Amino acid sequence: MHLALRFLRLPITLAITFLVLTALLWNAPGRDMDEARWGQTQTAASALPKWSSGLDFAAWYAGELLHGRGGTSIQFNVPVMELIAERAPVTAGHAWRGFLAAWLATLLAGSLSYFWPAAGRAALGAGSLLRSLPAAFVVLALVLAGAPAWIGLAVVLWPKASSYWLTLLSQSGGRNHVLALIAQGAGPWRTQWHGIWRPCARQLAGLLAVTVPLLLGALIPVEVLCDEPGLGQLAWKAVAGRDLPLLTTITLLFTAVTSTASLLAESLLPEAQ
Amino acid sequence: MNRAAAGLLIALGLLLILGPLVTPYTYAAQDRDHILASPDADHWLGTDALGRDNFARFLYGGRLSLTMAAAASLAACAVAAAVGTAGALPGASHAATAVLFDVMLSMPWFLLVFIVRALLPLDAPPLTTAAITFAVLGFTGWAHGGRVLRDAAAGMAGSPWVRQARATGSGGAALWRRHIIPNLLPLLLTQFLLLLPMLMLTEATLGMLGLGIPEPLPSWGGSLAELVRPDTATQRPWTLIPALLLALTSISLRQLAGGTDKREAVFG
Repeated sequence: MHLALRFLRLPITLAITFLVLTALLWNAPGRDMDEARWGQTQTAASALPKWSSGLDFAAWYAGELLHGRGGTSIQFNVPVMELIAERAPVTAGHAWRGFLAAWLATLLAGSLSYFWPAAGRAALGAGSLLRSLPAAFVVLALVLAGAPAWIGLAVVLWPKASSYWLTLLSQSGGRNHVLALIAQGAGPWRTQWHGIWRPCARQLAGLLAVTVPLLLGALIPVEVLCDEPGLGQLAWKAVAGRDLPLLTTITLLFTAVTSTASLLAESLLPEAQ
Repeated sequence: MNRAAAGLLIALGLLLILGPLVTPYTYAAQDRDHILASPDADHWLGTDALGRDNFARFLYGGRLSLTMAAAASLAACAVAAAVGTAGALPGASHAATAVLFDVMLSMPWFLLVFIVRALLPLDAPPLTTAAITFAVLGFTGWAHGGRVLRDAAAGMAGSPWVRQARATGSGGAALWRRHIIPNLLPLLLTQFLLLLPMLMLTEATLGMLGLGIPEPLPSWGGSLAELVRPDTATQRPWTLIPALLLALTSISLRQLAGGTDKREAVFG
């Protein structure tokens, strides 16, 4: 029952996000001026229904979603779902590479810190420095150095992931079962595997889920600065062009991913709550 | 380390407060004979593309970024404290705040901040736009701290010393006022010190993407936007100084937050 209630959170969050977004977009100062501009310059604007109020737009959009559509983009004059299907593979391509690279570096730093505590301190120090710089600045430095987008995502994600993982490792390192393994003469690899990694597998899976929303947050600056035609850049263009149907669909998509990741994290990692 | 961090923040604060005494230029004054000038005796950090003194813009921008981020953090901490303590009370209030935290933490706030900032009209007064930007950032930042405070308050409410206070006749609002809230203050200070650099860094990222504090107002994020132009960092390396100071400020604030964390552990 508790689990069912927890999963009810997903549609509730989506509904609230939709209402907040519609209210924001509808009540934005200058919206009417932009609509007039669209009316003159964008052919799609005339093809779209004329919404008389935010509620009217919400009802229209809900109907579109029920039919598996998200309306037509005002800026691009293309069905929104088509745009998303076109851009999603680009984002998925560098998102999984960046996620994997960040976590491999995190796990490596964790393992090294067990043998050489100085390595762990160095990793925490480097992570602290990277976390103290604006994400866009870090990404820009990498872009100027010719690094691809996935490296940018990995470098933005790594400090946070490594901080979580190294904290978890330092807490686990002093537990009784680890000390007992060491007292029994287990080598460092065996101690790490049986004493830390295996008991922490669930927490690690939870931490992986916790970092998914962080990855989404980094997508916009990374794709905008790297000029990658993915969902982050599409979101940016939708914001800049006040493209209501596109903006609503992307926000709901991001909300669904964030909420699912949060639910997964809380199921695997009760500490996340 | 804490003393070094505090010393650095005090020195920076003094520099920002005494800014007008240190430099004769205002943030908007243009020197059209020195466009994109290199650092010299007149312009310590050179000038920008409009001939404005970079050092003056850095000082005034620091004032604005720090003041507004501090105000937004303070507001976010107040909301976090109110909702967090309400969440620690048993019954409907606990359930309602649990749903509120869940929803707040599941929303893609970074995208919503972008949306709100982009929706502001271009002719809005720059200071109003800056205030709204930070207000939105503050609004998005309270939930994490609120949940930490709720858990801490709930933990304290069941602790032996609170039970002892109850046994000696303290109860209701007095129990919270005398025993729980004072012990939450160090944690609240930690949340403030962690939130402050986070808001400054988010504003800087918005600024670099062209959605930060609008011109002609200066900000540290706005100063970094110049770096987006090709070859700026290599040909004009002094434009990296705001990033360096932003990093130092952020590290110092986090270092102080670590210090208050330890104090909080002693209280616990």
